[in-house]
Amino acid sequence: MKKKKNKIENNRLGYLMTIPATLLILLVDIYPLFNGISLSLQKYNLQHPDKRRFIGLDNYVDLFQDVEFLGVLGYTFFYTIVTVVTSYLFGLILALIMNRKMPGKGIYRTLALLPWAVAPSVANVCWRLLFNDRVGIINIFLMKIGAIDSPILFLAKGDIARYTVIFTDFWRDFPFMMIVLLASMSSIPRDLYESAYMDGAGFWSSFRYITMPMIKGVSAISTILMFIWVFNRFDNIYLLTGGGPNKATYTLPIMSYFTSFMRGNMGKATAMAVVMLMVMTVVAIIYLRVMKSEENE
Amino acid sequence: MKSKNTQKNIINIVIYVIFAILLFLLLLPLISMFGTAIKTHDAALMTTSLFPEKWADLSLENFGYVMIKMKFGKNLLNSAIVSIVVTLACIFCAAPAGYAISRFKGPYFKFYSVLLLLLQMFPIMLMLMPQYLIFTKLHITNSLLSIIISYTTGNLAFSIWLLKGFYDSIPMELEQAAMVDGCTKFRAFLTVVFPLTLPGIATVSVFTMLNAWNEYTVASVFLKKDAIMTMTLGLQKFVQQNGADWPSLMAAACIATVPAIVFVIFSQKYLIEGMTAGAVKG
Amino acid sequence: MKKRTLSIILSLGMVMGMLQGCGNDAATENAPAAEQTQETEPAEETDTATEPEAGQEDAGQGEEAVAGGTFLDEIEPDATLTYWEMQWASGEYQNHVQAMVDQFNEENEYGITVNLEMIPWDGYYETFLTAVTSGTAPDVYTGASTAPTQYAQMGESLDLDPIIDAWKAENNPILDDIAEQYWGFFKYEGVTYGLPYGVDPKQITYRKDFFEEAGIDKLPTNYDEFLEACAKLKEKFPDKIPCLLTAGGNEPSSNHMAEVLNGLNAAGMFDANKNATMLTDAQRENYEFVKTMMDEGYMSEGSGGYGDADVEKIWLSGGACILFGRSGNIMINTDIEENVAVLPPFTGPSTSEGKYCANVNGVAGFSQTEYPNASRYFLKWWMENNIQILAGTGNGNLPLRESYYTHEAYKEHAWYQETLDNCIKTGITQAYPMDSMFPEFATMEGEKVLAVALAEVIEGTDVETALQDCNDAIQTVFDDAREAAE
Repeated sequence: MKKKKNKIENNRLGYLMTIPATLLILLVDIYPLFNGISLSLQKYNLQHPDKRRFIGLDNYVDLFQDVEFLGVLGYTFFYTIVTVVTSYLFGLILALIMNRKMPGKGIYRTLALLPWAVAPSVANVCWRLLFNDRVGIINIFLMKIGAIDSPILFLAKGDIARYTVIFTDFWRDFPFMMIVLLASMSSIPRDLYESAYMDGAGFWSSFRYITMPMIKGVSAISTILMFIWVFNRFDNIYLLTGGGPNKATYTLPIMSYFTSFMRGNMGKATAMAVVMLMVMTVVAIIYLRVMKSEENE
Repeated sequence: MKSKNTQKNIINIVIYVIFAILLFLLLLPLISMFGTAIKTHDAALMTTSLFPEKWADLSLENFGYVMIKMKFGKNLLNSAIVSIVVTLACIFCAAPAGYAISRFKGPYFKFYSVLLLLLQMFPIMLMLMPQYLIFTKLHITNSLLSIIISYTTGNLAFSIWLLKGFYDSIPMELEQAAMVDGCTKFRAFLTVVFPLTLPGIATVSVFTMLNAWNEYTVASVFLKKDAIMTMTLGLQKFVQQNGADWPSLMAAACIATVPAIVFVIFSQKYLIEGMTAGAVKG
Repeated sequence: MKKRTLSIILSLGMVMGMLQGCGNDAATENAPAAEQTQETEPAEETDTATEPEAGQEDAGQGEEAVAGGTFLDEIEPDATLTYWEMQWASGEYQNHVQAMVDQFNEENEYGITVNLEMIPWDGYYETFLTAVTSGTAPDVYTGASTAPTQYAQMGESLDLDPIIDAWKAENNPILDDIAEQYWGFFKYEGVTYGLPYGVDPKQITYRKDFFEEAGIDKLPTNYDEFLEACAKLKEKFPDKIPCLLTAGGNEPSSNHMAEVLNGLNAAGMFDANKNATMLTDAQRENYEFVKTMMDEGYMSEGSGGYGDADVEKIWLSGGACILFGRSGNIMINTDIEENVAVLPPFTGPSTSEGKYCANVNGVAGFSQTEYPNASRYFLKWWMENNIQILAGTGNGNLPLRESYYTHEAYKEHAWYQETLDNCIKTGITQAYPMDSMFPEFATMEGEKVLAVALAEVIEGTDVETALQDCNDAIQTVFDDAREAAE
């Protein structure tokens, strides 16, 4: 009896501790979320507010029959996964390097965080000028050292633009991965490594058996979070290419923006958002299941 | 032994060099931003080099224009206020919540973490109009309070999740030891566990602070009064419909990165100072 | 004698009744007279003998003359208005607008106070839409040219015909100062929702010095001659871009290139029935022209990725010879200014006179306002006094009022007169061939649907496919709009 009472009391503390966060979320997030879901079941165009009415799942049916939507969904997936994977790997390598005893570590860490410190609109304009085929430093330098004969059309050719935007997103994201992984790694006590080294473990095995398990939790969380952020990201690509050229870099957030604001079709746009939400939920569930099962092995 | 040391040194040097090159590449936008800002106004518009080509082209006039004539400092101040308050508020809400989700079992807590994830997934563009409606009803639009609330909530989800991860890696034995000594659970949290998650707190603060510092869309919709415009809105004063005053914009952007960088340097200390190795026993 | 005094007293009483403003106050001495002046129509029915007297008695300045029976009689007292002004020029433009607003606040006799809020261009669309749909729209604003009509369709725009009636009643010279065709530009379903004040010219400018060096002594007058000129420029300056244009980025600038092509060959992209018309010979010629420029290297290969920043950088650093489809104003007060001139519009194969595009911008109000007549009054005053925010402030708009061009600021730079002659006086509007702006244009401009053919041809697609895709995209916008209205 006493045990059960303790448990409830303990849980009460837990409930209390979540109250500030819950209040904010209830105030600011819940209404938009439910409003969005309910809007997706309506036909609602901002230009004709008087024609608003309930139409059930029609918006969703339209979406899945829309070839363009499916194609855009595909590219968004591709772009997100590549960005997350490259950011994670690069962040991991950097974190491993910086975890060693190294002079000047602090400076490197600060420098690596700088991409995050610049306003996106300014960063994108700078990238635009750097990638320019005539006056951009990147092309000028590459041609000077003879690596290429003619300028690379980073933003003008669709096939290349697809990767250019991945690069600029990666540029923005790897610092996050690096810092998070580094913070997690730094809590691994040094003597673990030292005793492993004494036992003759090389770099790779100490990484595999000491580092990896300890950062697994944080890795899973940060990759899922990053997947969600990048999937939903609007600013970076829109400021750089506007979804072009010729819709080569057209992602779901941009499509949703056009549909909701430019076409005024709130019903369809919120349906898109809900579909995105479902996709991300499925991905998250699968991912976390996989992570958990690996842990249990 | 000696050859192994030199081998290690060589590896270190190679790593350093690769690192330096990489960082230069990655910092190109910032370098070009800075290079444009230190040119004279005319040279910045007409030359295409990374840095001023002639001594005559080097000038700080853009910075002067931005800070003195355009009173950019006011925008910086507003952003600073918002960022600091948001960061503190976020930690205040996220630290206990993350702990609760990490330590307590039950359907409520499981559902909570799922809900947090879900909330992240809804695109901000579609949240804009309903959120604006809410704040209009509360009569706080066109005030810094509105974006403070919006930003804090926006950063809550990932902060709680991240901190949960950090809490998970701290063994429960520590609190239990403290409680055996007579602490309440909450006190144990505050005095034992919370300090150990300083790297996590520092991580969350850095990103929350930088997110709030650089956010544009929500601020542009919520804030219209000149006196409360944040830094990102202030940057837009240099932008016209089909073009911009690039030199001034770059100068303003340079100035805007300074507080962010200062904060990053400041928090470095806490990012890495991990748990003392001796705390973990057994 | 007594009768006469009585009639005079009655007339004075009527005048005082009119001056009461909003006739909610039933305690006026002459209730019947007050009632009559509430409607704008019966103005003619009131004793006209008293009108001139009333006008002359009250009017301090000519512009403030109370023309009987217009909205000016019903201005709400002590109104507070929110005025949204776009960032039409960078930097200190705000100070000029604030000075104008301060002047109004001091001058106006109705106790109207106007609060200025500057709106940045980045994300302005969301800002306006969110404000309107949540009931917190400003009272008056300048904004995108599509806004008055677009919000009129939603039922949110303020009806501005009373202002035009007031101008007519006082014979205000402004009605002749702005060319006839522009007054109808912001009409939707027969009602005026915006007052046209400025033009953002979309034109072609060129480097006189480069043309001279390349031996081009006669300016091109048609497409073939233009291509020949490009060939000469390319030969003489292999490192420079002969023809610089924007076809990328997220700014709507690529739309403007398409608009200029429309004007040069009298080719519309849609017709009055709201159907797409890209599959015409005239448009075919246009995009064959573009394709030739691309194939022959007369434009940069990277044009498909150029935004405003790239174009400005290249143009100002002397990397190009012709700037196509943009306002020429970026070169003002720079070193290259004396070498830049406006190319008189040349003519495409399917028409006899090529034209540039004058993108009309208007000032308007929202019907959500609590003070419709005060807003109208401010708008009227604004149109009459806005030279101080147009001349010499770097405003991207050129005035529509011809009389403004006598201001020194417009004489300082040759570009203004050249644009007035070549673009504003003779140009098409962006809504060509429609007479007025229409709501679907906002979608087409925002999603850059107008530039689909341009972007595809530049990336290498063949002209027929590009035209078809553009046609489909434009048609889809119209069809979606029709569907939304059902």
